Amino acid sequence: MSRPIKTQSDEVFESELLPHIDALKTFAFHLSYDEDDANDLVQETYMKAHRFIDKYEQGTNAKAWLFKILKNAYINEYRKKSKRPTRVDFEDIVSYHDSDDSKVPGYLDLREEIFSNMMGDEVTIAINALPIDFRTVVLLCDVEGFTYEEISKIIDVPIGTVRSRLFRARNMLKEKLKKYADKLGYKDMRGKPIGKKSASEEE
Amino acid sequence: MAHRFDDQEMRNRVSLFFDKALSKEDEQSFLSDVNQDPNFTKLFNQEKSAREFIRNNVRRPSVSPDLIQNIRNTYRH
Repeated sequence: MSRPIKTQSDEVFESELLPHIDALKTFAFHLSYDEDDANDLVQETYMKAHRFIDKYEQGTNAKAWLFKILKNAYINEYRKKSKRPTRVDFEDIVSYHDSDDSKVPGYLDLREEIFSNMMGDEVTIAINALPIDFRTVVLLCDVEGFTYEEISKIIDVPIGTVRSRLFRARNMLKEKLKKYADKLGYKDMRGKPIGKKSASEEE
Repeated sequence: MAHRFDDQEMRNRVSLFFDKALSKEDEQSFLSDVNQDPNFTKLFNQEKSAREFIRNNVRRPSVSPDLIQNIRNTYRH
């Protein structure tokens, strides 16, 4: 019995594209909120990658390339049928630049000991509650470890916008996680100097 | 005399470090500053814990063998 001949495209698929399937599924799941839609998105991503494999340069950033395809597929196919409101572009409402970061009280003292008392689901719920543009940058940067430059290319926005979205997204995320911290008696240290203890801590 | 960083400056540098947005040179200088200032060390450890917690606890649904096989079939035909 003869084996099918392995083409260069097959090799690229196995060695460079397929290893990112888990990360793509996670990203797709948090965009669509639905396991079946996430599977469809991942499958469509690989179909498009296959169709445009000649555009991919072997040995370059396959993960970023696949994420960009998935993000575009989501925008084109899935966002319009999503049941949940997904887009609140705060940048349309608030003119927000990197230089303004210092004006936002952005420090929530979330120490290590509090995390050990949290369930993982709380993180997922908090991320999924973020508006889509903010959720996307948190997933790409904090979950997948992409750089600002890579994220900028994946979502087609300037690096400054990536940074400002990340800054706001992290604040929103910490705000959402704060309620769990409050339940455990944790102190909100925003606006207080680093290292300064509250009165109750000093007692 | 060593440069003193205000809270906001420290936070910005910590974010840039964990976002891998500092040059090698700035990274070394940053780590040296972190080691010399207990408040900076504290902030660094808090941010590290927060990032690790989020990364390690976000739901990562599994990929079924059927999905992988379907995708493989697309490539083979």
